[in-house]
Amino acid sequence: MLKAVLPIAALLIYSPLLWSQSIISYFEGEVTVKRNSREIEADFGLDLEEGDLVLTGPSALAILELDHGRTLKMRENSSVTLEDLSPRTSVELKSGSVFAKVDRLLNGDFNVRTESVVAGVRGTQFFMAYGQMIDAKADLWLCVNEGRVEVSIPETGDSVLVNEGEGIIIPGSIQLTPPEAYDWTEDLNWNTNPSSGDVRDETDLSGAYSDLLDQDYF
Amino acid sequence: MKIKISLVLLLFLIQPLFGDHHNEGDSPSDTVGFSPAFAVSSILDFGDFDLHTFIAAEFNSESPHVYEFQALLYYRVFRNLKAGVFYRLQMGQRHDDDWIRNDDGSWGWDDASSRLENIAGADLTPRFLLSFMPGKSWVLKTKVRYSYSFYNRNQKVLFRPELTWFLMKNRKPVWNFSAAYGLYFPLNFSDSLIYEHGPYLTISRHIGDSLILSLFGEYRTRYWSSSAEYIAAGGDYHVHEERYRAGLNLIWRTRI
Repeated sequence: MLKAVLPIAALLIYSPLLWSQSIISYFEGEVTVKRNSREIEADFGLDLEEGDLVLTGPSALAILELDHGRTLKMRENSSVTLEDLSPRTSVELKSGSVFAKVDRLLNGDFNVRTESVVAGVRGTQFFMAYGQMIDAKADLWLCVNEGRVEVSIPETGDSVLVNEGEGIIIPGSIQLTPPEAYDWTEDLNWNTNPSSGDVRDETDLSGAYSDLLDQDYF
Repeated sequence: MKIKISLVLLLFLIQPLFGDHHNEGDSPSDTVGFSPAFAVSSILDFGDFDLHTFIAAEFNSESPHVYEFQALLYYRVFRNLKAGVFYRLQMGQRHDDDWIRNDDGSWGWDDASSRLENIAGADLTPRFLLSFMPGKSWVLKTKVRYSYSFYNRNQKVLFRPELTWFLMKNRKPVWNFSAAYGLYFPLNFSDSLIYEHGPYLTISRHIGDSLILSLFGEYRTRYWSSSAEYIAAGGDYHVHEERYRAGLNLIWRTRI
C-alpha cells in the first residue's frame, strides 16, 4: 500500500516542477511587462519568461506565480526583473517593494537581489523594499514573516541572518545593521492569495523611519 | 517768627507723605546669577495627540527657587504643525510688581517663594525638515506660545526659533543637538518690547526608543520694569538681570 502511495504523493508534491510555468496570477491597476524591448500589457494568466521586466504603476499591484512554487507580490511603483526562473530562482528588485514567498515543500534557491544586496530565502516569506533616498543612496528594508533570510552584500562579503519576526535596514544599501523587531512591519499584509482576502498592502514605509518632526524636548 | 519756623519744620516733616517715597538706591540693581535646574518629563503619544507633562525645579541664589508642573496637550494638525493647549502650576516666580516698600520703609522684592500661580495658554509649533542639509536630519521649528497668568493677568508670547541636528544610527536618532533663541514679548505689562530673551542649547541622548536624557544650558537676560508701587511712589527704574541656567531633563516617551 505504502509503495503505491509514495509515488503518487511525490508526483503531487513535485508536480509543479513537471509542468511549471510563470504567470501573472493577479493584478490591479497598470501593470506592464517589458520583454525584448516590447511592452506587453498585463493580463490574468500572462506567461512570464526569463529576462522579463515587470512594472507596476501608481496604486497598482501584481502577483506573480513563478516556477518552482515562488510567489512575488509587487506593490505599487515597483519593478522586478526575472533573471533566473530555474530552481535557482533569482529576481532583481529594481525599484519599489515586493513580498516574496516560497512554497514550503519546494525549496531550492531563491534570491531576491538589488544592485548591491542579495536576500537568500531560507524560509518561506519575506518583504523587501527600497526606502528613503538619503545622500543620493537608497536605503533597503527587509523583514521576514516566516522562516529565515540570509542578507548579504557581495561586494564586502558581509552577511547576516534575519529571523522570523525580525527586520533589517540597510542604510544606503551598503551597510548591514543588526536585525530587530520593527513595529511598522506589523501592518504589512502578507496575503498573496486573492481568494482568501485582500492582497493589497498599503503600509506607509515612511513609518519605518523615525519621524524627526515628532520629536519634542520641551 | 516762631510760628513761621514751626510751620516750615512741620512741612518738612510731613513732606514725605505727599512727595516721592524713594531715594536713589531704592530701585533694584542689575544682577548676574547662575541657576541649576532639573526636570522630569513624560510624553504620552496617542498618535496625532501627545500629552506632555513635566515637573521642574530651578534653584536660584538671589531669588526664590521656582517649581513648575505643566501639562500640555498637543494635536498634530498636519505633518508640519502641532497645536496645543497647556496648564501650568508654578511657585516662586518673581514679577515686575514684586518690588515693594517694606514696613520699615525700605524697598525690596516681595517674597514669592511660596506663591502659587495658575497659568494657561496655547502653543503653535511649526516644524520643517531641512532635507537639503546632509543626512536629512536637520529640523527647524519655531515655538509660538501665548500664556495667561491667573495671578496677575499678565499675558505674554514666547517666540522661539530652534535648529536641531539629529545624529542618526541605523536611521534612528541617537543624539540631538539643538540651538534656540527665546524672545518673550509682554502683552500687557512691562515697558520693554521684549522683557526676556536669550539663547538656549540642548544636547540630548536617546537611550532606546523611550528614554531621552537632555542637558541644557541657557543665558537669559531679563529686563525689570518699574513696579506699580514704585511708580506710585513717583519712581522709575529699568534694570536687567542676567541668568545662566544649566540643567538636566529626563524624558520618558510612551506610545499608546
